Amino acid sequence: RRLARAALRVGEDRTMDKEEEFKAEINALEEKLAELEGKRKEKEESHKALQDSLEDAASRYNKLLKKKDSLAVNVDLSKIVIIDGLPVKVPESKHTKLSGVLQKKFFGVKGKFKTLDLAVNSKKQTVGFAFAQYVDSKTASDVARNTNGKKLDKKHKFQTNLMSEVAKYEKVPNEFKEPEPLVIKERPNFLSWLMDNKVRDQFVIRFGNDTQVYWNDPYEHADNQGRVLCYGGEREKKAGKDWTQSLVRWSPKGSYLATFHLQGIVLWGGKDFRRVGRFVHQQVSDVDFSPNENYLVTCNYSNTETAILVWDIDTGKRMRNFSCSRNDLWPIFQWSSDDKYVCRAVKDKKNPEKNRISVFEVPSMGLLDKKSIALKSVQTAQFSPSNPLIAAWVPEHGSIPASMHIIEIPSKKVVRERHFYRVNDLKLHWHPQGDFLCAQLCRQKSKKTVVYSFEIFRMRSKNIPVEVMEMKDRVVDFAWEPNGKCFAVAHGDQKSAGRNHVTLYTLEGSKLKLLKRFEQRLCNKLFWSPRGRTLILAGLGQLNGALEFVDVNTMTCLTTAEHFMCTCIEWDPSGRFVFTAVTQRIQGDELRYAMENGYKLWTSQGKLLATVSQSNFYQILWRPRPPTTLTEEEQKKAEKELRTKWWRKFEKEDERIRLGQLSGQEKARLDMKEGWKKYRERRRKDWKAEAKAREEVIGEPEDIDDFTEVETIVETVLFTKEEVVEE
Amino acid sequence: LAAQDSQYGSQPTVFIYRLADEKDRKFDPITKPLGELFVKGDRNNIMTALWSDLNKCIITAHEDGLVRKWDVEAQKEVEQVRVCDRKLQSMQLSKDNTMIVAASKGDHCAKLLDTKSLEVMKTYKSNRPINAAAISPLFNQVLIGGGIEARDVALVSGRAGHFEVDFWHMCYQEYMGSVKGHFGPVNSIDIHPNGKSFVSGAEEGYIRLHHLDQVYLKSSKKMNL
Repeated sequence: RRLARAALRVGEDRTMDKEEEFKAEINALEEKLAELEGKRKEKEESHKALQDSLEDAASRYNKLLKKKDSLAVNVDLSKIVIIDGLPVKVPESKHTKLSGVLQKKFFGVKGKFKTLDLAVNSKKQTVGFAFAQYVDSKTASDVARNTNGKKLDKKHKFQTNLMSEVAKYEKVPNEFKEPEPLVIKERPNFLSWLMDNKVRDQFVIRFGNDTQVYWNDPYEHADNQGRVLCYGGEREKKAGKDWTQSLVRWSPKGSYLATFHLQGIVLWGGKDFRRVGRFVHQQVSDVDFSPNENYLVTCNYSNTETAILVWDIDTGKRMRNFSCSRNDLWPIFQWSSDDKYVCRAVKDKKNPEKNRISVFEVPSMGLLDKKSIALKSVQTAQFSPSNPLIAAWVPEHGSIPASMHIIEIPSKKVVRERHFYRVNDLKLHWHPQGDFLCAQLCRQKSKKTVVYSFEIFRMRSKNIPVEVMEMKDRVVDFAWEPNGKCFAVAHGDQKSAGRNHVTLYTLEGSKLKLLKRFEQRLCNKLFWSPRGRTLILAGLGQLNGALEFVDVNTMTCLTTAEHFMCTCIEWDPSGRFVFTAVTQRIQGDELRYAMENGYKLWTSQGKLLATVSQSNFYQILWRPRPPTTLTEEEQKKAEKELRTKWWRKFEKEDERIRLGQLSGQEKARLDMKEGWKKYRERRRKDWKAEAKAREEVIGEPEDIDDFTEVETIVETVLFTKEEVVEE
Repeated sequence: LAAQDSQYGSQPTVFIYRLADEKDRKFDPITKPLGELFVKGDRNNIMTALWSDLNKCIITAHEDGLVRKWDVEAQKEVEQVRVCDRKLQSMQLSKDNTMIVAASKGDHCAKLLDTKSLEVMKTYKSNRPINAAAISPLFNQVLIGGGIEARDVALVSGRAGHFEVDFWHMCYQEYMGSVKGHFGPVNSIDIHPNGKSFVSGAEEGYIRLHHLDQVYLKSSKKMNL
């Protein structure tokens, strides 16, 4: 038992020792743990401190970036050129030499150069590029362009660029953004009016403050003065403005209507006459279109360099400006038929030797061959309506006779030349299709007598043969037949008090031939129908509007009519109708025309269709038609088919209109008649009823006439005869 | 008889005078008016005054385009109708006193009125100021005469002034024909009661007496309703 107890005690001691050992170990471990914890916390704190410092650094960096950006913005990048390809690793000592060389030889522009900075790295050696700063961006861009690719020496070649360009490429976003599709702006259909199913023509009238465009419909709308309103400026009226401030003009093919305003010209087109173009030219007074409606010429007769402006209609851009004098006749610029050239006879008032014909190429608007055609004392220059040929004439000068030239463009070769002696005046008349040219000369035969002659050039024949015709009478008017080979001359001596002869000639065949002579007509102006065939002999002005319609194919006079005091005659483009109008100038309030102001519509045979009386009447113009797109064969085919294919259809249409009208008119008249009869019946009844009352008032019955007829037999002795009857 | 007074600062008025009876040939020139008709404050001249309705009414035409009907007994205005927008120059009765034709200077037209109702029945629109009009007693026609102002005559040729007497169809309001001859504005027209002649007086001082011929009578008969 004692042993056991001793063993137990020892065991207890041993476990107690072990326990203490363990406790000591645990304590040591706990200490270590605490130590580690402490270390961990330390690390955490330092980590946080690091993070804070990082954030600090980041914010500072951003601030610096912003500063850099703002700094960059302050400096105008377009004035800085970045030069690349410079020698690298040049030590600092040689920097000044390098920059000196660069400045002197390449980049120093006198007066505009500011600084040249070489980019260096931390070791103060060049990195290979430099910045050159200039006063303005133009010099910078010029320098950048000029020095790019130039060599500094064998090994180094410049690559220069504007800093603004570099900055631009920097800004390119990383993602590709698809560009928005462009919106196509609808342009109005300028030819919509040609598609009218009744094939009516349009015309514009200008009266008072109104401008109105009408369809010409004389048969179906005879009760409405033969016209249907297309557009009368209603939109402008709503806005409180007038459609035009003075006159209007159509373009040569009828696509546009030009209106005049204080600030310039406005073009209108399409079905609703919307605004399609605007050309600013202060106080413009005249406008001219090119034959294919591509270009516009405006003029305001000012004494400046911009008196005449040439515009491109489609883009609205101003192409070139010219000056002019007040005496020049409009149109000052003559266009060629294909819109490729425009010419002008430039007259030098002080020195007529210096007169020249300036031919400009369109659209560049530069002088053809950079030089004008020098033609001393040239008076007028006109383009042929169909070919690029200019006809010009020069009056007599000292001993040199007057001459006429036909010049071909663009070769500037004189194709035909004629000289004349003792010429007082020369007028050029081109045939509307360019087939012929007529020069009307007025020559001084002797001291007192003046003789007239015509030089007719056949433009379509080889070598342009000339035929000469003399005329003793004074020539009053000359007119070519459009689409034909005839011409008419109105001539007469001044004693015949306004009555002139009209002679018709033809150029059919190889020789000039007289067709017919109309004697003693009240005529001083000739108007051909645009289709040829019909001619109006008009007596305007003093002759008070005598009109005579002549058919040239049969040489008969169709009708004689009159429009008292008419001032202008306008054929429609199809040759079916004619307007004769009494117009007055827009400025004056002319009482002379006040009564008669207005217009009349006639057929090509001379039948009066409509009369419209309109005060303050200024203008009436048909809308021109573009030339037909049918070939000659197709036209002939259509004419042949008229009788077979189309005639029935047209007849039906005409019949329908006629019946409709008749019934309408008839009905109206019947109504009026009935109404009137009823009214009169009513009054007659009332009147009869009052008969008795009337008798009382008057005092005697009404039946008794105021006059009494007394029959007296008057005997007059005719003769007395005494006869002695012898018994 | 009725007479009117105009301008010189006085109120336009219609005076009614009693004429001496036929038996009593003495006519005292200074007679006092039986009655006066006027519109107070209205300064428009009274251009014409006509008796109507069996002497019970007077119809007056005023310069501003109004036509008024007055009751004689009461000397008061009964009715008022606007016939024209501008100056009314003169009026005349038809033969049977049932219709009146009024000539308007400003409106360039003549209008046909019914006497009883003063309603505008027809309008005859011309191109010059109308000074006088008359109704044909025989046919359904109206004669119209006028012309542009005398002071403007010198500026215009004789033809352009339209100094003619026009014949218009009463019912259809259509121009039928005209008689030329005057070279001044026609100021008054009257037709003979038998309808076969008419007289016209113009500014230039000429009175023209026309006798209408057989051609006219025949064709008018045809064109009559």
